[in-house]
Amino acid sequence: MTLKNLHFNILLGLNSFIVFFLLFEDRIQVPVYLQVIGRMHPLLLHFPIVLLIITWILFLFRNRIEKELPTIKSLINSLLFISSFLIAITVIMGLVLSKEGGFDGSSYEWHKYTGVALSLLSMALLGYLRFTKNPGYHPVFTVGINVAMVILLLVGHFGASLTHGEDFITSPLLSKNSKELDAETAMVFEDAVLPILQAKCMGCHNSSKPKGDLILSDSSSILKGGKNGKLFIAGDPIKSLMIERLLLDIENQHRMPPKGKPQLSIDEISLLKAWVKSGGKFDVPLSAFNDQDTLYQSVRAVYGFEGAETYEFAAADENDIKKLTTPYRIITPLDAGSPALDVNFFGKEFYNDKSLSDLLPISDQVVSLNLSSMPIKNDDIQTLKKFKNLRILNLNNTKLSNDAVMLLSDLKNLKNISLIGTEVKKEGLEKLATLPNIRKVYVWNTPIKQEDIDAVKKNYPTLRIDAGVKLDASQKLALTAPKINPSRSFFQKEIMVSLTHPVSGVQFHYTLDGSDPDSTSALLYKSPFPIQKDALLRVKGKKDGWLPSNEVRQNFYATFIAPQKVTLETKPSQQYKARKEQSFFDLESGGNNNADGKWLGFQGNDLSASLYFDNPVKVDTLALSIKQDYGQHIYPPQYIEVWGGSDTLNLKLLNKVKLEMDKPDKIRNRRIIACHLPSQDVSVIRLKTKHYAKIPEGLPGNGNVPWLFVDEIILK
Amino acid sequence: MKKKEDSNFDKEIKEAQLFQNRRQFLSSLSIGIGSVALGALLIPDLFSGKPGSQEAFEKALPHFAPKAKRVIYLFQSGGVSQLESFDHKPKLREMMGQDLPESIRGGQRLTGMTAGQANFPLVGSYFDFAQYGQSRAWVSSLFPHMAKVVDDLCIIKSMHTDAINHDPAITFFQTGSQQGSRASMGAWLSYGLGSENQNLPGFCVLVSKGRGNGQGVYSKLWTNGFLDSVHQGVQFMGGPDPVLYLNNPEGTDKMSRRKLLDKLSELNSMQYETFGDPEITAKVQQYEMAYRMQTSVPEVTDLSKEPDHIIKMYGPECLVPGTYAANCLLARKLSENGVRFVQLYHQGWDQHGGLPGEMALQAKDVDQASAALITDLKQRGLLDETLVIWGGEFGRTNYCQGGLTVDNYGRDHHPRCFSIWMAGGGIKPGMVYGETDELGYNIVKNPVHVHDFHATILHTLGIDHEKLTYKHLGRRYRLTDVAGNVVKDILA
Repeated sequence: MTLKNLHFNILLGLNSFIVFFLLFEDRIQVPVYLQVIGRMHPLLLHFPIVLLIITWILFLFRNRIEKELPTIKSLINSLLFISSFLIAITVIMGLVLSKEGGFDGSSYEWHKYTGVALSLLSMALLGYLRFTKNPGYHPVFTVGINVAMVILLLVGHFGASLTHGEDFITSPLLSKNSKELDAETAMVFEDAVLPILQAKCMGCHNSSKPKGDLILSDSSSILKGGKNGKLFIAGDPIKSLMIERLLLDIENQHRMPPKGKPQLSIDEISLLKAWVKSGGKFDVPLSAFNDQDTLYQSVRAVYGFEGAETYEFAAADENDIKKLTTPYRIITPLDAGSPALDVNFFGKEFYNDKSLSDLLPISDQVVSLNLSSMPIKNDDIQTLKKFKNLRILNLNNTKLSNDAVMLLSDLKNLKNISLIGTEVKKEGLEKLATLPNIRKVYVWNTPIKQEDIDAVKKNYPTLRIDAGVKLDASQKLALTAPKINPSRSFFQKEIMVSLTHPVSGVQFHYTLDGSDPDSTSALLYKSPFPIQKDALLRVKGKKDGWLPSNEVRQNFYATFIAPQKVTLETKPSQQYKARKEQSFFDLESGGNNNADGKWLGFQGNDLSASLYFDNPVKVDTLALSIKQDYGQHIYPPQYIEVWGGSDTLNLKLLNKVKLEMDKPDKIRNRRIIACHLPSQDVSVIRLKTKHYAKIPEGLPGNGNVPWLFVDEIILK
Repeated sequence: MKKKEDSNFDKEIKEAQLFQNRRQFLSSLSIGIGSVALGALLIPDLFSGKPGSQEAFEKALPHFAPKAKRVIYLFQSGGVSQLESFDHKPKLREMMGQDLPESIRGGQRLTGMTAGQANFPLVGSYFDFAQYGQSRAWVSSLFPHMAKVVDDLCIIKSMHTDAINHDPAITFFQTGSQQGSRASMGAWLSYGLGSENQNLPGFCVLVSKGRGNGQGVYSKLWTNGFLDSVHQGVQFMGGPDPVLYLNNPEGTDKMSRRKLLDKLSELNSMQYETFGDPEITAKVQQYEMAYRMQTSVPEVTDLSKEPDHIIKMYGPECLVPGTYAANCLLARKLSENGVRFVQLYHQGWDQHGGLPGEMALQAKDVDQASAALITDLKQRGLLDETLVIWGGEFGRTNYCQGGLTVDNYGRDHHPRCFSIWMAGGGIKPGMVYGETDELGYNIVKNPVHVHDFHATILHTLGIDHEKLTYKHLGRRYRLTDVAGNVVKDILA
């Protein structure tokens, strides 16, 4: 056998194998180890491509090259053999690879058959070269090799589409328009529904290939439906044929798209469903839907809306930014690497006329500016206008007039502006609505009325105007309790009392004689008033538009005499020792918290305290202020004794008061135990209390040792 | 001898400066072998390094464009029952009193409180549910105000956690670890993004007491952990001094305080020149911050300028300092003033018994103000850039703890599924995410773990949770530790 026969026979064998493989493709099982070979298809394929192209080029310029290289014909001959051989091997590998599955669609089919065709054609070309007697090239060969080149390009193209996707090369040009939508301008059918039909359905339902008599390329054909009837019933996706077909099981023969064709994603199906549900209209803008609407949400899920903006301008000088940043003017890039800046002002007392104009060197880069609550003046608008790249502007609670706001219409890039609490009026809003990029305006708490907003919206349906929430004015809530200052109950001679409330404009009705503050005898609070004797202050707050507050009560106790020295003979508990004996006459009343440093607590031992006076005094009454809280085992003593005399060695019992226990359901939180004393001069008074050893039967915590809590001793 | 000591001393200082500067220098370059090499070349120059490092205060930047700039986290401490709030399970009412099948419990560990129970009788919600808004989300009758803003919320019904008791569970939520000592989420954000307003702390904490069974909320939950102490949460109190130790002592006026600080900072920078200890400059910065807070805090905490209808919206309780409603209003003001992370805690959601009664009180405490916060932020145009989160540390069991009667029951801790909601800042509004089984015991769709929750929050703020790290004790730490996936489905 000659060499040329051997070469050709090898090729013939390989190509026979290829044809055999194609014919019995369905019955062939590829063993796993061969898959490895198959997967080398994408690696090997580049060699025959290059070799075949070189062969072709040599063939084209053969006459010119022949002068320097007389053996050109045999070179072409050899190259063509190597190319054909590699093509056949590559095709076999490709077929093996395809058996792994995962390939479908027209690109795959075209790639397979053009590849096989190329292999057979190159074998034929080689056969011609090897067995012809013709010393030159027959025109048929010329045609053949040129056709081979064309087929080569096709094979390569379809193969590349398989690995990289159909519009891999053109996608940078297309993606922006086809993938992301502008939520403000997009049309539901044209921009959201139709692209899905185009990509997933129109392969079989177009005017040149109307399967089932259905054409999906335009609205009238869609409305017409196919041989099974109308495509959808507006507003009722469940009964609509199109949705039903989409949702059938993949194995069902009526399922669309059928098995093996590219399927719709869940989001795409729900978009079509929502579109049908919304009425299946063809001329509605997306912005007509609330952003919580299912349709809006599924459009967003499928396409996404224009994401983070990219900025064209150059970054500002870092030193400028550093220099201009103060604790009250914070300048930050939007994110690491972004030239766009976000500026926030804080602290209105640090804002001055230059605060804004200082930023002019970086005005091009500022895209977001927050001036809320700053004392900016209407003239500052002239400066503000120079920030021509502003996207987001917050002017909440500034004193800007409507005229000033109108001037902002020079900010052509503005997307989002907050004007709550400003003087902006309808005219200002209308002016802002004309801005080409404006999307959101916040106008809560401005003179703008709902009808103004409705009027503006009519002309600019895509603009979102947020007027905030207006509460029902008739809704009435109770005021919280007013505050009585000071909170202490004890005073010497006189105490000035004031009433306050966090809500402005609350009026206080009060009484000092124990009568109801709602009664006609109640006084209206104007300014702080003095209290000179024991009194019960009862207060209610009232304001138009509110229900009156709950009543607040506070007792006031006058104490007239204070001893020069106090001693405690018994020890208070370590936990509640307040300021020991100092606490009895500090005029401070204890609160809810036992450990607030104003209560003296005794448990297990009785209280015994001595009061010393430099000059003998007459005391009518001694009163002890105690706390009662049975739940916490805080009880009154059994009795108190008051002893008096000229010195500690000559004390007589002046009075003894036995105490009734409050019933647990009628317990007073504070109790003043008054003890009247006979009229006589004393220099020393000793107070003794006697506690229950155990909490008596029938009361909370019985059997435990009770507590006594005292915050003040009052002498009159 | 004396001389030798001196030179030793000098050497130590120089080393300290070298070390310090090298570290700062390297961390300011992007990390990598190239920068190490470059740093090594340039180190001799670093001896002339100037003091005044503001590292701790300098602004860090997000990794990519953020959707949310700030977070308000309304933490419902104690574990809100999902079955009486957002996870509607009519089946439980039908099966009232029947035992929870072991096949569903699936070996779930129990707390010590119900481990001894002979059986686990299922109990349905005492409160009725209805669907609201465009999203048709189910909300119980306990939360009528939240139901009105449900289209602004993204309700996640498939949260799950690893912990079954309060302290580890809340610590896990706050720091990404069940054991204490890691940095809190707010501290991570302050570290990762810096403070927006340098006159207020980047991380503020507000605590309110509920009326139900309460669990402790401690300062370890807002700790800076291993991060610099400037990132620690600052607690605002309900009393006359919202921030403790901020006011000048009696008899000191603003001018003399200023003079004192100036002098002190002079002395401090001299000290820094000598020792190069960055804690010194951090301290100077903190004094300055505190000085500025003397003005900014009273401004923020003053609620007297809020218009009547805002007060009514939050409920008049918002005028009583220290209540949840007041904290919500304050949270809005802090957030409006650029505080990066406002952390609220409302205690009292631990209904082991007497659930219908207690939970009604708890819900009344929080419902109106939580919803008002959403509405209020929205009408100010702030909801777009503020992420609001509402939820507890775990859920509650679908079976009863203790005695079961028609109108009284309790529920134990349940880590396998619970509901929270998020709103604003880059989260899809009007969405219900995840599903639990018919009996509300296991998740059947789209589980969200605490680590995923953290990763998602960081994502909305423009932070890649795998990149925000801090090296400590020889390893790099993250809020999400070595786990966490961004829940892309709920991102707007």
